[in-house]
Amino acid sequence: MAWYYVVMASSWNLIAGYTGLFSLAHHVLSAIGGYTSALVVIRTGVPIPLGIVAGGIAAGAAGYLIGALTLRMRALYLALATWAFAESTRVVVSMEYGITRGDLGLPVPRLFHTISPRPSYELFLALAAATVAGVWWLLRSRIGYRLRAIRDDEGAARAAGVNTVRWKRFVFAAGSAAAGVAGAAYGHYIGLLSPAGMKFDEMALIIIMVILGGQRTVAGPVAGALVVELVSETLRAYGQIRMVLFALVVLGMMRLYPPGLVGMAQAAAQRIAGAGSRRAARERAS
Amino acid sequence: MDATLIAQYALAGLVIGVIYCLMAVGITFIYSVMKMINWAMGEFYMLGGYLQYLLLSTWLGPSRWYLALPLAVLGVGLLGMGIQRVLLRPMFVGQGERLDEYATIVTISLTVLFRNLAIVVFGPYQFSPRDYAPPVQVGPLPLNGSRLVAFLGAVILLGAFAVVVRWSWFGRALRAAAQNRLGALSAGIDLPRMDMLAFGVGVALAGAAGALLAPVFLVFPESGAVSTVKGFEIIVIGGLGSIPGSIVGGLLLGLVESLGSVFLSASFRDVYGFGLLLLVLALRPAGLWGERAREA
Amino acid sequence: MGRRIVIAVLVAAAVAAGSGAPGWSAAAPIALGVLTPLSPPGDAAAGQLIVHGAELGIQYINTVMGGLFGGRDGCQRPATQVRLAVEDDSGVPEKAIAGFRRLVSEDHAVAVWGAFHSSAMLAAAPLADEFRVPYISTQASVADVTKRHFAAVFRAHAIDTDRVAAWSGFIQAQGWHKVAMLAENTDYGIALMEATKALIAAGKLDATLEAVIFDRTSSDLTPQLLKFKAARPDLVLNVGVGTPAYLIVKQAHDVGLFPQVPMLASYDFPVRPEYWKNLGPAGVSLAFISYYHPRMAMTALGKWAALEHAKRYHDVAVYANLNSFGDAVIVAQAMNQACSSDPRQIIAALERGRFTNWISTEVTFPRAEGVAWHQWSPPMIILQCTRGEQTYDTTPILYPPTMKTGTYTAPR
Repeated sequence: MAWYYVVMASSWNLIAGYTGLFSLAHHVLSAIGGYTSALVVIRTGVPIPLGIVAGGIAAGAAGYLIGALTLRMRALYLALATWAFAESTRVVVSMEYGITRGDLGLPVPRLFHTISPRPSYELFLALAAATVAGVWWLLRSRIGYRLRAIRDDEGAARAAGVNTVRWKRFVFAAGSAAAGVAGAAYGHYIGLLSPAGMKFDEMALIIIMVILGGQRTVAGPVAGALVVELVSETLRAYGQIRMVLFALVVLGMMRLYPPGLVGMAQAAAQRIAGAGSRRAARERAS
Repeated sequence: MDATLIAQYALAGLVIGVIYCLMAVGITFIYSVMKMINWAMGEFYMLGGYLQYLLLSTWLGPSRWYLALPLAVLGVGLLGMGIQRVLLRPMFVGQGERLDEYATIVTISLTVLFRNLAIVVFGPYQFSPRDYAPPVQVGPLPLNGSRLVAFLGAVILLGAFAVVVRWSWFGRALRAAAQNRLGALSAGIDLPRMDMLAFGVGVALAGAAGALLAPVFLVFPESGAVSTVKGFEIIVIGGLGSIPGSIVGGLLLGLVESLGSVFLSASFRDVYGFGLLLLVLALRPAGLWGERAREA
Repeated sequence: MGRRIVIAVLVAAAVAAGSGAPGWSAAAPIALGVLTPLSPPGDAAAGQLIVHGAELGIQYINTVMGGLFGGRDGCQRPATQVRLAVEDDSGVPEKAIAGFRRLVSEDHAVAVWGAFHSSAMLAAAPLADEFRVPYISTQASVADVTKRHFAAVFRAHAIDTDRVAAWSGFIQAQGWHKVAMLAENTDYGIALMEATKALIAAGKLDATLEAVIFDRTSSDLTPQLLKFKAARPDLVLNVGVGTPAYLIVKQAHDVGLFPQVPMLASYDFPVRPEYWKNLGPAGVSLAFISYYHPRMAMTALGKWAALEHAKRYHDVAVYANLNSFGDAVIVAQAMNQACSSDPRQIIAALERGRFTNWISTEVTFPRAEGVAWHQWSPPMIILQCTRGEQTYDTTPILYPPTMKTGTYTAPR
């Protein structure tokens, strides 16, 4: 499932890292995509790919709405408001068992009926590639410069004629849509959705991946998600110890080396290339 | 519906509301001094419970809860100060621009760390110390002894907290730091030390709630999750940074949950808090007592 | 990247298997899988007990039985050892699915058991059918597990209707009429509530039922319990699993509802060592459903398991241990009868054969109608804790009348 987390981590990094909107509802937006797609497919009988698109649209719309309501708030209020949205959505989904089957889980039509994990693997790889490419393109384009301007100094950006609120809303909706598509595909892969995926631990995991890999880089969330999933798989037998380990590594990293794994790799590459320590130092300082 | 029963609901709501207050005051106090939210509050609550259980079951014996209580609270407070010193302070000294974000990431990582550490160390089992006191009658209403102790303990702690913040030099310094960090700094207040103490006191309040409630709600790795939810509901309802707001919010939430179960449906009890929260957000976006400036 | 390595390993394994001696090799132990909750929100304490039971089962197969095949049941293949592969489902449906997948595709388990939470079991059941790997429910009791007639799913555990029949019989024997139920919002809780309601609606139980559903994650159930107190029922049914089960007893005691009003717990958590540690005197008087009592006559296998459990884990064996042990030995017997480690053959043997587990020598899984499909129910009894720190073997049996060793004792 590593590639699913690549999508989640990359899209969250786009929202939080590049616009400073520290959303804590990303995992729930993914679940909204999942439930929407599942319910649309079950109730109307449309093909699954169409359901996935609907899931993406629903999550994007929800993201746009949350964005519109919270963007003017200060960072902490935004975090609290998105958290409250996430928690209340989880409670409603688990109690409305007439529609969502609550904790029993909603059976979702499966996309691939094979034992082999291959087709799903390829689908998620494609989704991850599309998300990463999308983020990369977005940041290279003129929008990317605007976003960076907003992040660095919102007042100055506004003075320079950037419609900050509009761009933030756009990024929030785009990132949410990516999460929604991933969540919908995940539901059709596993064949079941339950409110357990809307627990806060899931959000914490996404944050850990992004921080570990390196915030505000395109490669960081990818590296973070892959490393966390790989280590989780290898240490599967050790249960909770791996989560303790991740938390400790993230704390250490935040404290001592904020650029994360990607920053580390860049620094190492530069040293090997003999580009001189000055540039590395400058990189680290920025 | 007879009156005694409603009184019993109200009593249950009041008792639980006062404990909610401890959590909320802790969160809001840390916020008002350090301008950060501690997402790991529930985990300090859980640690308070474990510490209390360990002290009682290994060292002090099951009946000396009154000795274990201050020790558990002190332990959680010291741990909080240590964490603040090692993980949070360096960032505050540098006054990095992305301070809230840094603090959010660090405290969220702490929740993951403590919760899983508890599973690794103690296993996924439930523990509970013996009841602190035999059941008592409050008028015609029976009340569990531990709940009474928890209620009184919470009232005393909140009272002591209010006295210290209001009248001592330490409290004045803290309030100064809360109002204007730069001003406080120029008045010669040692801000880093104030931050450390504020964080320690804030998490100690959560630890106290956890230790007081250990025999009531049992101690297990995820026991902090519910109290975090309630704590945040209250501070959004009461207004971030307002201590009276937290107290009123806590009592209100306890009563709404308890009475909502009688007059509406008992099954949806945990949804009432969110309902109240959404109502407050819609009508008074800054909370009942919140600061006016919510915009950037 | 994880998947890619997995695929590489699979390919390597396939190549290795292809290049080796054709057919079946005596060297590699055969993997049997256990999928059970080992972390919250699942009841991890129960999962731990199930794993212990499975370990005993593996030990029994490898030592006492001398491995699989090797002449037993007329199977002349060389004797083979078995090994245990364990996966954690956390009581969460998605994790159960992922865990089942891993057991089958990575560990190559030929049979799986260990389910405790019905929702997790039901989630993985279609996968068992798809892969044609036998999946035995160790403690998941919702009717749907067998009622949906999965080709590969079996159960040697009591079902909802057995449980509801037990408490309905007990309620009538006691002459009670007003029943209150506090049930968790899982399919276990909801199914038991609906089955009880159905029994009353069908006129088979002369009682009224007031049922309240609660969210599994909430920790304060006082308001709900106060509501019951006002209604003054004859009996409170405690349908919580894990932490909520304890919280209901404790908080009912706190508000003065229990033990003034009798309470019946839906499963046997009071026999666990932590029961008295957590509840102390508040736990006295609780009646509970159990599937086992140390004074019950066990099979030779059951006696071996109880003895070995005491040696290995320094604790009295409980139902979860014994039933998981039972599932392990049933699988081994089916494999011997089929003389094969092919999961499809094991399924066929389970449907045909007659097996011995810890409590019975007559375990069968016929293709019967409705919920009896692939279902074997152990006897079900109702016990009561009559004093503090009581050990398992001194608790009186209240029900059924044929096994009765005591009557319901109200607190003084």
